[in-house]
Amino acid sequence: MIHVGLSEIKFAECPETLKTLGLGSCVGVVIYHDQKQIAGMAHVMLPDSSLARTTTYPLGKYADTAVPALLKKMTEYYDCPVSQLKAKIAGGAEMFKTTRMAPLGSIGSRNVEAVKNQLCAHHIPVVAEETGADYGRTVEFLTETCNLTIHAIFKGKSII
Amino acid sequence: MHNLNELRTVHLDLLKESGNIGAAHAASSLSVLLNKPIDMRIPSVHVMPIAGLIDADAEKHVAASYIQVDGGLRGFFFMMFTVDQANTLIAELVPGSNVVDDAMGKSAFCEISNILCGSYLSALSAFLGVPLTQSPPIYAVDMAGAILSEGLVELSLYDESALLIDAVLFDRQKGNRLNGEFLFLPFPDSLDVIFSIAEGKYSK
Repeated sequence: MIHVGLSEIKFAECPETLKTLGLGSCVGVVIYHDQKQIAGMAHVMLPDSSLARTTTYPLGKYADTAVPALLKKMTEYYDCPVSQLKAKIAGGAEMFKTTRMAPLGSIGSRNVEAVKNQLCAHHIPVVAEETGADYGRTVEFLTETCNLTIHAIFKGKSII
Repeated sequence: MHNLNELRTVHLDLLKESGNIGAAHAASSLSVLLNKPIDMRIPSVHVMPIAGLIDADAEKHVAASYIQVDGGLRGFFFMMFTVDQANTLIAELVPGSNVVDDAMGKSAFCEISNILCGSYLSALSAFLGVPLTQSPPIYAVDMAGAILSEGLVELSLYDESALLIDAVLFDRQKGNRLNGEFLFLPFPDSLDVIFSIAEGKYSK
């Protein structure tokens, strides 16, 4: 099991798995090649790097830098043709119920939208997703089956 | 704006002292509310990578209340207890209730955080001589990592690390440490406010 921390990007080949813990408003993005059983996962925290107040940041932190970084390694290092890559995503919840305007709006749904826009721009189909709602998720991607397993405290386990 | 990595021991000591003043007041308020002596200490002020802070107990099942601080300085409070401890905490206020699916329990938990935060801030405000306001608490019960990462989203735009003023609560009668955290996370630009005010105060 390879652990993907906040704002990190990691890759795995069969039979390894990629796991990230406690996704709230963050989005776990997996880009994979099902024949080669190779996958990359990013734990995206924010929608766009233009929001950053710093000059350096991990590429996995923002949707607009994480997806290109995932693709670059999948195509250049692992030699997977872009046209054969697929994506699964999970997360983007809203943990706090509030009527007050948050400074960054609904960050969960913005993250999901930003990740989908990036994937769409690069012509990567999102074959499955488990996003939104108001609960935390721990997700694990199995390179062998290309299944994304999702654990939530109150909802239990699901597989997409 | 301060770079968090440039903070020296003297800065951390100053933050710890301001935290101690706030915590002492907050503990008195909580003692009155729960009708038993509660001590609160600031064991540490540290700069921590946000990723490490969130990953440490990412899947722990907690109840958390989140309060924004505005006015003379900006930041926010987290009060976070494991669900079992949170139930113990509110038991004296609303017997038989819980923080998971009972509105009274959740409300009691939020009210405790509200009072703790209010007394902490009024002491800090007097010490620094700046007006401070707090938002009403918002509440969540779920995985610690999921809750914290959402709360830390705005802070993470400024730095990959966060300054953490971490208070620990003690129940004096039972002599045990309540397994809960009371975190104050100021924004990096607000640290300048604390330091310049404190320096001005002591140079007179």
